[in-house]
Amino acid sequence: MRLQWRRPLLALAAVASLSALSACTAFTYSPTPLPSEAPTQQPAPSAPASPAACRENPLASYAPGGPLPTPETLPNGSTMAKIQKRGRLVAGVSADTYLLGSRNPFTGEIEGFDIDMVKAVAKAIFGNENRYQLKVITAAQRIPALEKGDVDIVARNMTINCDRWKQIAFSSEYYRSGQKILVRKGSKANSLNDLDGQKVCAPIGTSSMDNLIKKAPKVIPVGADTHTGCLVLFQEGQVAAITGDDTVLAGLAAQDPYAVVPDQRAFTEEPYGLGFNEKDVDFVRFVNARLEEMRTDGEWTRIYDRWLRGSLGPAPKPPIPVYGRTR
Amino acid sequence: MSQASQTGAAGVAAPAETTAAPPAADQAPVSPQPTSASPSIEAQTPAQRKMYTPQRLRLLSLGVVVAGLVIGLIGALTFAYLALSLSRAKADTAQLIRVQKIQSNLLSADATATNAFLVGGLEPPAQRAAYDQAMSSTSSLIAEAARAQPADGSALAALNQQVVNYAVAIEQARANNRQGLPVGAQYLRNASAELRADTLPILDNLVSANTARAADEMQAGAGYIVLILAVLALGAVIAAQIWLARTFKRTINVGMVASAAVLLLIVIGSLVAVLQLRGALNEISTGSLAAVNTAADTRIDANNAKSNESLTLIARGSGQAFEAAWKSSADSVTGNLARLSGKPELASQWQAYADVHTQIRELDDGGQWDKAVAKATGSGKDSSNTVFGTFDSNLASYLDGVSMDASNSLADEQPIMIVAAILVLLGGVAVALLGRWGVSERLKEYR
Repeated sequence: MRLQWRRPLLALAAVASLSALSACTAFTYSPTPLPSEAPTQQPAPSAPASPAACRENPLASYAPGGPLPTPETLPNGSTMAKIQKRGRLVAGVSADTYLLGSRNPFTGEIEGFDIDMVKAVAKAIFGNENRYQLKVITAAQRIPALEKGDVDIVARNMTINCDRWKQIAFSSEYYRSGQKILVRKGSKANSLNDLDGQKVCAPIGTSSMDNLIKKAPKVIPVGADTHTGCLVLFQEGQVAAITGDDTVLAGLAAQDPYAVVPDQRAFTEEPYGLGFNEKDVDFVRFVNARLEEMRTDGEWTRIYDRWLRGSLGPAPKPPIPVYGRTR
Repeated sequence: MSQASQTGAAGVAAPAETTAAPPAADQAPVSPQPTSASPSIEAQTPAQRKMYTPQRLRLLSLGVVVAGLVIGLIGALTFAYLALSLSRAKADTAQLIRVQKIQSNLLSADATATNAFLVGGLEPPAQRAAYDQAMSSTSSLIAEAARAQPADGSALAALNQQVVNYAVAIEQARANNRQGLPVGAQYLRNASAELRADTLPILDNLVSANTARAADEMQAGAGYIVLILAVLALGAVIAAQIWLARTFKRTINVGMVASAAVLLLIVIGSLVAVLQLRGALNEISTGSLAAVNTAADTRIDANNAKSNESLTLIARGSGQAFEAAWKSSADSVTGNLARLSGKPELASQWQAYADVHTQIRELDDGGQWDKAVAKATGSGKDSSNTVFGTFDSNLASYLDGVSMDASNSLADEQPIMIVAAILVLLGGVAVALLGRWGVSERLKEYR
C-alpha cells in the first residue's frame, strides 16, 4: 500500500516539473528581427539624350533693337511697359543653389549671381533694381512657369539648347559654365582621369552623371539626390570628388574650406541664358541690349566678382553674344 | 467498468498507476463485473470474492486520491500559468507602449528640429529645449526597453545606433545652418530621410513583435484543461459511486457524493473563471489596447505630417514629395481618429491644424514664402505650432490614459486567477480526502 502511494506521487511530481520546464522554454521570446538591409542605389546612366538636330546655332538670340530705352521711353504696348505698369518684375529662380540663387538665412533674402541678373533687368525697366518679386521654382518647373505666364523671366542656371528653344526664348548667353571636378584641398587631381579607381559623386539622373560615366569609365560613380547631397558625402569622406557645373561646384567649395575646384579645363560647355515666354520677343531684345550694356560697362564683371571670384578665380571675359535669330 | 473509469479519471497519471499497481493490472483482464452473474464469478467461493473486493476498494481509494491531487495540482498550475501569462501580457503591453513612445518621441523631435530650422541659424530656445527633451527621453526609454525585454536587445541596439546617427546629423545641420550654409539643410534632409528609411522600420519590427507577444499571452485557452480534467473526474467518481451502491446495497456513499459535489464546483468555478477571463481579454484587446495602438499610430502619423510641413517649406519650391507625404500621413490620421470613439474633440483639433496647413500651402504656393514660414514657425494663437501643439498634447494625454486602462485591466484579472489557483488546489485535496474517507468506510467492513 505504502509503495503504491509513493510511486504515483513521484510520477505526479515528474509531470509537474516537466510542465514547468516546458513552460520555461516557452517563456523566452524569440528575438525581435532586424529589418533587412535595403539595396543601395546604383547610379546608371540615364537614357542618352538624342542630340537635337539644330537648324540654327542654339546660342543665337534676337538682336537688340537699337540702344536700350530708358524707363521713361519704353515703347507703348510692349511687354516691358506692361511689367512697368504692374509695378514689379516677376522672376522664377532657385533658392538652394549657393552663389547663383539661394536664401541667405541671416537676412532671409534670396541672393546670388542669377538674382543680380534679375535686379539688372528690374533696374532697366523701373530705374530701381529692387522692383522685383521672386518665385522659387524647381528645374522642372522652369519651362511650364514661362509657358503659363506665371513668371516674366527665368534666371535659374538654365542651359541654352535647341530643344528648349522650341518651347521658350532665351537671352544671349550670360555665363559660360562647364562641368569640372571638386576635390579635397591638397589633392593633386585636376581632371576626371586623375581620379581613376576613386569614388566621384554627381546627382542621379543629371547630365553631370551621364558625362561622368561616359568620360571616365574607370571612376566609381556615386549618386546623390542633389549636389548638396554630394557635398555631405564628400564631407563624410565617402567620396573623393564631386563633379558638376563649375558654378554649382563654386557654391559647394564656398561652404567647405577643405573643398577646392582646382585649375582645370571644363570637359563640357554649359551656356546659361535667361528664359522668356517665346512670344515676348520684344522683351528678349530689350534684355539683350541690357546685357550688352553690362558687358561693356564692367557691371557683369562686378557681379561675377561679387559671387564667383572667391571660388572660381578672376573673372573671364563675358561671353560674346550671338544674334541672328528671326521669328 | 470501474477499472476503465479509474484510468480515465487518473488521466495523466494513468501509465504510472498501472506500473505502480501490478496486482491490479494483472487482475484486470481476468476480473469481470463483480455483481454480474457471469459463470466464472458464480464458480468463485465467497472467500475468494472477499479477497477481491477490498483490493478493488483500495484501488478505488488510490484512484480518487490521485484524481483529486492531479486536478488540484494541474488546476493550480494552470491558473498560476494564466496569472503569469497576464503579468507577461502586461509587461509586453508596457513594452509595446514604450516602443511606440520612442517612435512618437523621435518623430516629434524631428518635427521640432525641422521647424526650428526654418527660423534660421538662431533657433528659438523653447524649440531647442523641446528637441533636447524628446531626444533624452528617447535615450532613457531605449535603455528601459532593453532592460524590460531581453528579446528586443539586438533590435534596440540597432535602434540606439540609428538614434545616435540621427542626433549627430542634426547637430551637423545645426552647425552649418548657424553659419548660413545651405549644406546644413541637406544634413537635415538626410537625417530626416534616414530616420524614416532606416530607423522607423526597426521600430515597426519592435511594435509588431511586442504586439504579437502580448496577443500570444492574452489567451484563456489553457483554462479548459482544468475544465476537461474535472469533468472526466466527475464522471469517474459518479461511476464509482454507482458501483459502490450496487456492491454494498447502500444507495449513498457520503464521501463519494461529497467528492463529486466538490468536483462539480470545480467544473462550474473553472468554467466561470475561464469564460470571465476570455471575455475580459477580448474586451481589453478590442477596447483599451486597440485604442492604444490607434492613438499611437495617429500620434506617429501626425508628427510625421508636421515634419513634412516644415521640410516642404525648407525645400522651397522643390518640396512636392514632402507635401505628398504630408497628405498621406494626414489621411491616415483622419482615418484613425474616426476609429477613436469617445474623443470627438481630437478630430476637430486635428482639422484645425489641417486648416492652418492649408493656409500655409496657399501662402507658399502663392509666392508668399515668408508669410508661410511665419505661420509655420510662429508661436501665435493660430500658428501651426500652437494649433498642432494643442492637438498633440491632447492626443498624448489620451494615449497615456488608454495605456493605463489596458495595463490596469490586465492587472485586475491577475488576483482572480491566483484565487482560482488556490481554490482548485484546495478543491482537489478535498476531492482526494473525501473520496478516500468514503471508500475507507466500506473497507472497514472487511476488517
